[in-house]
Amino acid sequence: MGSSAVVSADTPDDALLAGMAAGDQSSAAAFVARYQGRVFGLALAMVGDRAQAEDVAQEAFLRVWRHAPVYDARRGAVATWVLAITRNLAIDALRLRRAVPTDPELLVDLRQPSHDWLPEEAGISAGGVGRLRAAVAELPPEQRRALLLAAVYGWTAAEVGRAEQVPLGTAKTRIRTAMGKLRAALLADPAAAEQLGVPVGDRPTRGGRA
Amino acid sequence: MSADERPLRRACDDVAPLLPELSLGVLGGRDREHVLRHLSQCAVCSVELEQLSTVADGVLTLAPPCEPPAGFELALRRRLVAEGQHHHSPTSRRGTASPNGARRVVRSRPAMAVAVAAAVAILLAFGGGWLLRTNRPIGNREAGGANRTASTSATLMSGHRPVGRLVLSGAHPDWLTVSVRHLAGSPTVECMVMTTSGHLMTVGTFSLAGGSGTWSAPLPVAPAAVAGATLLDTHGQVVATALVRRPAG
Repeated sequence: MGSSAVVSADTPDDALLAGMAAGDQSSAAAFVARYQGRVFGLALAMVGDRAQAEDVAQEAFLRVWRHAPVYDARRGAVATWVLAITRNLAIDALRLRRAVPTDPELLVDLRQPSHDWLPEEAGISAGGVGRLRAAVAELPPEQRRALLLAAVYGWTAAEVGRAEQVPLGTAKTRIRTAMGKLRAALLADPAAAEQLGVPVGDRPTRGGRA
Repeated sequence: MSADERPLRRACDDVAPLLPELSLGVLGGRDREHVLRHLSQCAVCSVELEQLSTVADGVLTLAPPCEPPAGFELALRRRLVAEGQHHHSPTSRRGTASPNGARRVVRSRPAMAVAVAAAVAILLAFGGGWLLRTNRPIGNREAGGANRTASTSATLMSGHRPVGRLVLSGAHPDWLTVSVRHLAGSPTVECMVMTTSGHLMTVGTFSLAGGSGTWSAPLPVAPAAVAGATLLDTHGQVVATALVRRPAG
């Protein structure tokens, strides 16, 4: 086990991960304290069962611990990395028990965030998340469901179409339109886009080669 | 717009409607392959995909936070301590290079990820993989652990040329060891694995000396869940691929 590092509420996420990579338990404890609400919250929203959500959350943190040595901060926010791990584990858990996802509307809290939790504490920008939340809330319900089933549960357009009893083309259109609206909403608010990490600024010319 | 750019522009129009599904990781089949091919040569669509992917990641942050049950932290702490005794021990690494890359959701680098997905998907589609062998245990030598389990290996191919070997260790912790010889063109390579469920994960970025090198890194998934692996150069181009094929039964 590595030597103990000095950690505080201000210690950046990537510094905590670096501490975990070195085997520092205090960094791990701080990381868990910072993220457990969001990780367990996402797991619970997805699997709908507290015991299974606890299993998923525990496994998610174990994976973060295992893979902390190879995390590269250049590639995105720690928060989205951790939540993506949680999401994938929850999807696996649902598949194993052949469970039907919970109501996708329950997956996201479309209310304005209250002050009893601060997203910044979990490495997530309040401004960017707030704008995204508002954009999701403004979607027509059928587009919102299609988006959430795909984005959170990893459902294909065909699966969304079957669940919603609409043709494949309609499901694809709903997903595409919803994503387009969210992207447009964030690009219209450069500060929010930047906070979420959406690339903005000069774009290559259409038809230009990579 | 030059005459040369017109066909690409038309391709962009074809691909653009598919980018949202790709960014969400739910595009499959020929559509996926078609988009991947286009992305490898189109900067505009790559940027668009990156934007959409960030939006897709952001959706996960909207789930309402909820504190876990009492005892969660304690139970987790015990498991982390137990894990730490395996994963962070001084003997848990070896090799001539250390991973400095990231295990990250694939969508963070869409162009590279899709290139890998395409390469592995093509291998899977055409059965062009290389036979896995079940070897005598090697995991313990690398991890210093007590449990011996079998390892799995596959040949890394660059085109039709074998350039190295991939070994998946089934011991605790799970490890990937890669040996490369005479792989020209890039001083570093990024190693990604594709899981049997289609997820792509970066294992790490490694240095080569004269096109050769050997390294080990923790596997982000169980060895049994690895369907293939790919090495990419610094431009994100696939330079070698291996398909892990397991014998029936």
